[in-house]
Amino acid sequence: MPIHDYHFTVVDRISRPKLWIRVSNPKDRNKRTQPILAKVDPGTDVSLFPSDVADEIGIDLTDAKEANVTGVMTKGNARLSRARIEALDVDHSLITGATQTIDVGFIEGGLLFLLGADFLKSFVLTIDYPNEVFSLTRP
Amino acid sequence: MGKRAVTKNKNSRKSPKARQLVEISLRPDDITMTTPDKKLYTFVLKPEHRGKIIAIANGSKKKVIAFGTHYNSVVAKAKKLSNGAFSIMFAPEKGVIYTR
Repeated sequence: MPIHDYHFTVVDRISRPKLWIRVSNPKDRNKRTQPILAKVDPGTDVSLFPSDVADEIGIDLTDAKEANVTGVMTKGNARLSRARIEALDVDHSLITGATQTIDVGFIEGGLLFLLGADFLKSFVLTIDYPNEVFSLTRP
Repeated sequence: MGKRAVTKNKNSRKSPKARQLVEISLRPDDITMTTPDKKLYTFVLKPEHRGKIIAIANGSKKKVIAFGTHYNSVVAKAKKLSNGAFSIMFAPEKGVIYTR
């Protein structure tokens, strides 16, 4: 696998590496989101999603560990909880071998979907800017 | 909504990869998001969608069916309008450079 020559997403003629994912509750995989387009962001240590995503898939954040999050677009407290992240192809079919269960930071009132180093660290990430594609392969 | 005109990339005859890059020209206020793939994933983002979480209808005609600043409300509205066949993303502000 896993992901070869995945095309960038173009917005306003600016191309960015983004990946379709589906987030689910590791304790109940039937509780899962619709496909979400997440930004591939190796500069983010922990993957970040709006806290409403946790509500949707039945993850209780009441006793979850808190962590301060600082970034240009994201500031505030995140609550960390295990979540299962499946990588999807552009047609939303599952990419086998690219599923990870990691601690995700859920931010109250957050808007961004960031796929950080905690998800990416199991892969070799290759970003080919001239050809506007990226790949995630196993080491 | 303004009239749309489909314009193929200049290099569309040169290689399959180049052929996938297609843009749709719109009225000046509109922006397009394109995910080049086998089927092409292009839709219109209006100015009010910028900086919001948006829901996009699946199927051949992809368009924004719900948007807002709360994920749950966007998902709830999109579920009513699409029988569950939609996807979610954040629509960036025009001209914003995302950095850390």
